[in-house]
Amino acid sequence: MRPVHKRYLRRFLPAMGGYVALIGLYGWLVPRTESVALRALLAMLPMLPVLLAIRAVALVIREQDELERQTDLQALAMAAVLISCGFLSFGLLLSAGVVRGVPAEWVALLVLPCFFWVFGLTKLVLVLRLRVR
Amino acid sequence: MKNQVRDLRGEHGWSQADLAERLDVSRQTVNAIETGKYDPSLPLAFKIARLFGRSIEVIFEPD
Repeated sequence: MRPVHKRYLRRFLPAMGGYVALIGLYGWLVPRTESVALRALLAMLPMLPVLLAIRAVALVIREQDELERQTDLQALAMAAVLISCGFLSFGLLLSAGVVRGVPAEWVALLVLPCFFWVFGLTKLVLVLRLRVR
Repeated sequence: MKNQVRDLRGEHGWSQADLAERLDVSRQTVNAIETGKYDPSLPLAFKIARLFGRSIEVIFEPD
């Protein structure tokens, strides 16, 4: 593994660990408290490690070599387009009453995880295409 | 774009990993350049040319 990717893991993994811990705290404490301020704090706390994870991604994109950077930026652009179109379509279907019973909070909570999944898959396709072509 | 990177690397007895380390890029990037799947930027092309002690136009030529 190249030093740039070791640095990435050193930044990314603790951020994800913090995220999992804070989501656990959120799930455990939110049903047990009535205080709006505390619920707001618990809801927003997981965003700190998310921002650290995004920073880790931004830094690795800047530090890696030009082909890796090009691949990542292409994957990010494609993920942004696919996820925005996907969620727009889903929103229109919800609004038209075609799809029912999906809580709005679940739709909103899924945007970022879906974005990273699609980014990962798109990157995999681009890397494999580069190897096969 | 065609290039002589693989031949020049062979002349120096370097592996793709050796060349990648000298250029500060990944081995996959060296492989992509050698197989013509990726055309390097001008700064990287200059770095390759300097490393092999040749001019860019000797190493890289358009299709």
